[in-house]
Amino acid sequence: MRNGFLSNTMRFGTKPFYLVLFSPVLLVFFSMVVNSTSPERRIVGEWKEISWEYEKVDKHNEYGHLMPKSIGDNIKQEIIEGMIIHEAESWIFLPDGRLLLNTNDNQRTRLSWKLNGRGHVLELKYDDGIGEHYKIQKISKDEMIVYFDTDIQAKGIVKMTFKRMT
Amino acid sequence: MGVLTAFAAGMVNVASVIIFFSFTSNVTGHFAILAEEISKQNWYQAAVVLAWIAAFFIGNFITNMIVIHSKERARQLSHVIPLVLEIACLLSVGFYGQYFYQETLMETEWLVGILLFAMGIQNGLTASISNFAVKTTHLTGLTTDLAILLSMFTKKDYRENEELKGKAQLLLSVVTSYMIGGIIAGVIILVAQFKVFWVASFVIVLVVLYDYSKVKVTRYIRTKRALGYMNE
Repeated sequence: MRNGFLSNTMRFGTKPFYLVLFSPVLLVFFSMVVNSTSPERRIVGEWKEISWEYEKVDKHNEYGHLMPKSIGDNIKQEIIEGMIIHEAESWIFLPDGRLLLNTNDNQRTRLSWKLNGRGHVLELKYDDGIGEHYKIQKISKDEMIVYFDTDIQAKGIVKMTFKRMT
Repeated sequence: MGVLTAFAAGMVNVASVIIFFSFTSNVTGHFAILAEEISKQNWYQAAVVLAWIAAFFIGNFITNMIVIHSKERARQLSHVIPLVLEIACLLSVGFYGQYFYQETLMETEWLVGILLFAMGIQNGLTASISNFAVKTTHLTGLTTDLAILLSMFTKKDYRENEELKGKAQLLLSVVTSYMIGGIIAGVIILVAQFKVFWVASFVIVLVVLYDYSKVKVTRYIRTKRALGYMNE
């Protein structure tokens, strides 16, 4: 290592050494910041539920039946029973932290939302503080994919896919 | 000192996982997440994780700078400065979280960054003092060392080696302390939320006091010995 990159750079003194070492990192960091939007801003808008399917699931359910990848309406009903998202058709994330869940029959539920971690955890809460959290797997301009765990009928991870409406 | 700092690290890590869904006492996972976010072209998340890793790095860097650039006579003070910095970080996260936290993503990112910086400081200090032998904020290397030691103890020669036995005891106490700290933090959060960081900073205060008392005792023994030689 005597003639390696580090020793060669250190020959020019401490300051150039640290400059050479850290400049690329800073450059990469700032270019990433400039070319990105916070997930907190990206999530704002109206999203329509497109599909529900199992991302990971036990091969057989509790009755020994083979589990399909897609989630039918009956199982979906069972899963969302007891969850706060209910039967929402569209999810409207407002910038002030409110979330409106609209159903097919024009019923509306109001919740509050926030992101946690590095923006990968979506927390939904009712006013009384009861809440749930979901993992945001992907959030792009047009599509959002959200995961959550379930143990209804079969133990697994449910993948919800949304399409941006506005 | 290793045991107490490991206890604080366990508390901080478990608390941050529960509150912020992010680890703050180690960066191995963050490196993996950084690679994942880059591969998915999630530049914002990648930048956040890179900044977190940098915070941990800077904490280590600053601590070792303080230790190696301090003069021999002020060596003990050089241990105290990083610990005071760590206490300040933990207290600021505790106070801000308890009284001002609006649960926005940016606040979360900053608070996690400050905790990673604090853990970097602690890790740098214990590693620096122990000549890179002990790290108290993460247990990967420690688990490896412990497994190697325990496998060595299958041979009688190693089993009877006092130095190896001492090292195994130290590693076991660090792991146990880290775990207990984590469990206690999990319980405290349920009732006190962000005040858990006040408790963690109190543990670091104990470390400072322990360090200070050790210096006093060492100086006392040295003075006694010196006086003894002079009398002879």
